[in-house]
Amino acid sequence: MKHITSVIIFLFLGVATSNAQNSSKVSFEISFNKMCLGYQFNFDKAPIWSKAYIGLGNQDINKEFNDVLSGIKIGTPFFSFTNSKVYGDFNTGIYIPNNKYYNATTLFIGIDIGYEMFFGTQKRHSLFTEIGYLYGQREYIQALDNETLFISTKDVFKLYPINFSLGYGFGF
Amino acid sequence: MGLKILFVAIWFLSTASCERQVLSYTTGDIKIKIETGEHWLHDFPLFLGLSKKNPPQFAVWLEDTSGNYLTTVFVTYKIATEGWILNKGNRRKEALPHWCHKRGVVYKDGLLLPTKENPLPDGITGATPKVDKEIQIRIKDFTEPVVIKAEFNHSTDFNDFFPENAAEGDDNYSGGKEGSGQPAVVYAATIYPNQQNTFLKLIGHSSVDGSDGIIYSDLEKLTTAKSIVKQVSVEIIE
Repeated sequence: MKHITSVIIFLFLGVATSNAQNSSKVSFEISFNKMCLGYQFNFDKAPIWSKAYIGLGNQDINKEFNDVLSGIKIGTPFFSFTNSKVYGDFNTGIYIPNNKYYNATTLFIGIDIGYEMFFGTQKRHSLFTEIGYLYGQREYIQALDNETLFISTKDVFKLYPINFSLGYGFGF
Repeated sequence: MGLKILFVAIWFLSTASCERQVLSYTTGDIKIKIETGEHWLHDFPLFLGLSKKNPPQFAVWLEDTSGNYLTTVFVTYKIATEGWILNKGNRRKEALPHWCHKRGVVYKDGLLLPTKENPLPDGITGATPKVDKEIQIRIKDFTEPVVIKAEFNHSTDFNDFFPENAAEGDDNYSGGKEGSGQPAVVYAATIYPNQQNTFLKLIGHSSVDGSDGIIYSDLEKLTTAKSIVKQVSVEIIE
């Protein structure tokens, strides 16, 4: 748990202390298995941005939107147009299932390709879509011990590998 | 500065090894291994012609040699907690009827199926695995033989003998469009304290519509249901 807490602190510290241009952004993205709020900074020395995000997911046994996920994305534009851009990002973070059956905090990594379209007079608003691959799995053990019997089983919590989401961003 | 911290965070994350979990057996422990068969994963229809590969619902339990239910050792989440998602109110009594009747616990609605309000205990309820499953049991007074039974079933596993359009009241009615299709299959074996390896045998199928707990030995009308499981083996650790 200490390790996980350290990672979360590192992730947010990394984004929060980055040298940013004026174009910071908050965003909200949603997919069939997660919804996240994000805070994005653009680095001023390279065409790179980083985004810290936190949200809720429904990928554990009870399929309820009560799991917690948090992570960072580091991305770069591949193609930029007047009102849109195509970008790629590296995605890593932590997924914490929330159920009474098992504890299986899972680290994940992934990559995404996204398309973002800007609108509004100052292009502060944007809509984006991302598709990508995610890898994260964790083994866990469940056990029951009573007067007559001890029962134990092993299983694997695996995150859904396809990431597809839609989002809205507001730059400031 | 920020960029450096970010790279440290990523390195930290990438070096965080996924902890391997191992079931630690001691002498006398029983290892039950369920090996998945060709039809362990079944296409469950979603919408617009899309489908999802679903593993089966199953339960593993112990009986004495007289056929009296002793205890459940594992049951999948959906049936243990009424955790169905696309059931449209159907409690799916046809899912694992032999286990339900053996267990014999009647719930508020008169059915033998656990409910959301009264689910089975956490330690024996688990996600349905997509791969082989291993269960460790330690019977604290293992001096007499016991019977291990396992019952498996897929939803919407229709075939020519158990079709989707069978009418309620017909012999092959299995719960309608969202129902079972082919009935649950039951495996069993008696294990003895001094017998190291045993394999469960397919002894029959359960009631098609879940109305009774009888095991029917006629297996000719079953097709894919017979290969949900490749093998269920039991090993007593020496």
